[in-house]
Amino acid sequence: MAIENVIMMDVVGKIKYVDKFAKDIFLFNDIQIVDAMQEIDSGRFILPIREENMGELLGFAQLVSGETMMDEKKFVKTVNKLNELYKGSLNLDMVSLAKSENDLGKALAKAREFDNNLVVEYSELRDVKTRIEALEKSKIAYSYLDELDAQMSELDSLENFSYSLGSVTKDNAMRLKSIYNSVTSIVFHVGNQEDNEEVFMIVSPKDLEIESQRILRALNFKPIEGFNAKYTESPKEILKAIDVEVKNLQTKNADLVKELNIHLEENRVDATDSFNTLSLYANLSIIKKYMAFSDDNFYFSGWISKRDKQRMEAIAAKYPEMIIMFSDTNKGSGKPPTKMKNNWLFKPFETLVKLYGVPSFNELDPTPFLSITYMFCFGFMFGDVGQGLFLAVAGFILGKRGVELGKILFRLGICSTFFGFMYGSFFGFEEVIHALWLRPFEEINSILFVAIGIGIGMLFVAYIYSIINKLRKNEIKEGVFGKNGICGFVLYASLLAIVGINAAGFEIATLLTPILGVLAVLLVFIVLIREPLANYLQKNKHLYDESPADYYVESGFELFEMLLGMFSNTVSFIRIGAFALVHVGLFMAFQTLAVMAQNGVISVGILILANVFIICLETLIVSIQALRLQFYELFSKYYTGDGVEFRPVDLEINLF
Amino acid sequence: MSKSKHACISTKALAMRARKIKDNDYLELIKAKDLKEVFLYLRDHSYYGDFLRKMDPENLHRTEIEAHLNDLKVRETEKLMHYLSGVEKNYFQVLLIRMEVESLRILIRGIARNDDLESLKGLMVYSEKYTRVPFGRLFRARDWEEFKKLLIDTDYYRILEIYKDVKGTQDLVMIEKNLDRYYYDLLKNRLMKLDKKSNRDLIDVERRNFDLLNLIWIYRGKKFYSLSREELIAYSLRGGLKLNEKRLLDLVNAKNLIEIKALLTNSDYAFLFNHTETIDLYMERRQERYLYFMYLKLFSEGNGSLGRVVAYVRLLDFEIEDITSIIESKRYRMSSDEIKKYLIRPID
Repeated sequence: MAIENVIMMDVVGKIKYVDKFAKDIFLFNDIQIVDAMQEIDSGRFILPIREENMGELLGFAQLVSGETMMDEKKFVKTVNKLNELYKGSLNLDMVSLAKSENDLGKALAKAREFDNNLVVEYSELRDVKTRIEALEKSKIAYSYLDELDAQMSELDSLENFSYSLGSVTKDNAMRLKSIYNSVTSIVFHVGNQEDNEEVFMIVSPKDLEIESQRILRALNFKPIEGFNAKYTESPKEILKAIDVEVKNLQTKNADLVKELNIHLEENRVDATDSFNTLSLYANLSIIKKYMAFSDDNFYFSGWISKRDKQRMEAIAAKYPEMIIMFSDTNKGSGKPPTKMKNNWLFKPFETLVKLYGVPSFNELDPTPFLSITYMFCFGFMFGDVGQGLFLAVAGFILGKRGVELGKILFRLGICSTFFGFMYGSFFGFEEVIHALWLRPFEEINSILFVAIGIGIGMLFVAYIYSIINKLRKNEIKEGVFGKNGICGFVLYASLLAIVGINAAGFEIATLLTPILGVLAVLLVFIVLIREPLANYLQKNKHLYDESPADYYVESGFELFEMLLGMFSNTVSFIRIGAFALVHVGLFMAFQTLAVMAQNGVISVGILILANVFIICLETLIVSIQALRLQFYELFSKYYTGDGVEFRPVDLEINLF
Repeated sequence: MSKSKHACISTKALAMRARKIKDNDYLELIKAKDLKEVFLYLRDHSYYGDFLRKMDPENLHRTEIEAHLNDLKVRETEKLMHYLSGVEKNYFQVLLIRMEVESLRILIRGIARNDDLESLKGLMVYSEKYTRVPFGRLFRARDWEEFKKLLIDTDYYRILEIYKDVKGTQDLVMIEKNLDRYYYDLLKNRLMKLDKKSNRDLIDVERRNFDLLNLIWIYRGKKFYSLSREELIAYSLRGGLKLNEKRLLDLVNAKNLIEIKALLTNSDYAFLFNHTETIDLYMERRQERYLYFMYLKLFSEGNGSLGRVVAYVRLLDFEIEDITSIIESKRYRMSSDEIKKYLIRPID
């Protein structure tokens, strides 16, 4: 079956082996770790009481959760630093991790040494960068004065005047302008800043400087930085000099970066080593958080696949005095997670199933059934060789880029192509290829009947799934006597038979109809009284779980709903035939338009547009309709989807 | 076109105004013996109840009640903003920025006084949805430098960065003036972007407000702060309706009150100064009552316009201010008649 059996594994080991064991778990990967402390607290982690287990048993009394003791942050910090230096080009190498003994102390020491070596180069680099930044500032500052034909030294050494440059907002600039003539300084507008502020140069007599400053402050005047007394030439010359200096520094900067990179490359092996080891320890710390510890022992719990049991036992055997226990799902060790296992064809459809819910561990995985019927319905409704291939290609590309839905689209496209050949439709044209089966528009009745036939087939399978699922959960009431159980199934089949043989006019009909009729009435009655019947057979004391009156009112309505449902669910499948017709009809409408246009270019344009339109619209509608059939008509019969997904250990710690 | 565009929101404003407190509520509040009675009346008989329920009637703080009253304003302004878009929404958002500026002002004063900023949390009123100010982190700022740095992503940084300190009274006053000026410049700029034709009345009222604020500023700047003409102009607002740049300069150049009065003789604003002894005491109330009537008119005549919606919020503003005045008056045990004199809304 497509749901793997999982079992709970409980491990007790000596504390000195904990790192090695955690590493094994990490490399093993396909395990869902459970908080051991919680398992022990809830009494599910049970050690057999034996002489040799005494130490471990006594350890239960002094347990501490790993959560309080472990901290992966210090590892993560160093790992992040390395990652940043190498711009994310370091990768966790699982193979070398598995082979080598990883010494934490050595890795930490190496990383530290590495760090120290970098400090020197880094500080020089930072120096150059700050100098470039300062120069850029000066460049902007002096560029406001670039039309000034004077030496800066002259301005700086004025005896009775001082100057300053600064910016104010647009509104404040207006205010400044309205007091130009009364203010005690000379104001020049010298330019605009990028952030929409206006830049002014203020020259004021030194005697009145305080007053000028007050006014400027009132206008929220922000002085421009970057002027420096060391620049004495005219602004034009200064700007030139700055450009040269910036250029020199940039070359220096490039050299330094190169050197740093060479250094980094030289040490790549060591760095990778440290990176690997530290990442591993970060992961181990996270794993250990889920463990519980006593003075001598560690306790670990997790879900694994049943088929991995032997491999786990082999791992445990490496460590002396390690106790490993497995408990089956039905022994009540919590609700086991569900591990879905499907082949490559069905795998992408798991997404659709999870949209509804993850199957419970004791439920049949609906994925294979859903996949087959979903693809079939899609193709049936939207069968076209050209458009189907287009979808398949689009889906393939998307799938390669990691879009899960793309993979589904690819499969749907292939089915569409297949049915395209059946219907003989190529980009909507029915003249290009020969229909292998039939042309939907020419045989409307057959296609609708076939659609219902397919629906009946699918419903039958759904009944079987439902019966298996319910019996697995020991639900006699619903599984045997319920509307989606054996009774419901037989009732549905006999009603269909009555309709079928009468419609076909078989001679046997006169004989069979009354028999089947009686059977149907009997079955309806059984469904009505399913609760007391099941309780009676299971020898329960109470026949009814609620008051009989309530039960019969409710059950009566359910009967009504069941019979109606049988009819409507069946008829509902007509839509797959109807959409096959819609596909043809839609294109015919466009084709008529194209003919009416009576202009070659426009006609071709219309037909291309028609295809784009049909591809988009039908893909959307048909995929929704097909999914609706699955979720509403089929899942509601047999599927609960209240399971918990199996989540194996995360491969890598989050690097951020 | 514009009528139908705002029909929905304008009707909504009408409905919201109908739920606000009435004259007889005012009378009840004025009659109340103390802070607690005012609080209980508001909680149990007014639309503010929702925002006051969390407060403990036995342990009330005047300023916190005010903050909670303003919470209602934030919520309603946000609600109305839903119905607007583009320049109109932008303009409307300024109403929220007003409260943000007020909250910042409270915090800056707190820093100047070395208060624990966390203790001022209850007084903060701002729109969590629209603010870019990281208030949560501002409370933890230890000093002025840190405070400024936290605001680096907001417009406020540019205003505050040139101030090295807030400890001096002069600095604090200037910072507050600066914040005000920032707010009104923003208001003016966004106001002027609105469609001139359909929002004529609204734009005029707002510009009258600028005029009045300028008059008060120039009058007080001369009388109390003895500021230079240039500084008076530097902090004046732009975009006034009747007082253009030239008239402002004339006012600034006026040597005394008599000259100011003379300049305003034939203007709409003569009422501010046509009194003998109570000019200072009631100056703000007179300004606000003038605007109150303006907005009331805008509200009732602005059917289907943005004006009505703005007027709604402004009127709500005045209402909250009045309630605040009533609450304050309880502290001084003022008589009913005395209280009424300080209210914006005329009550008989």
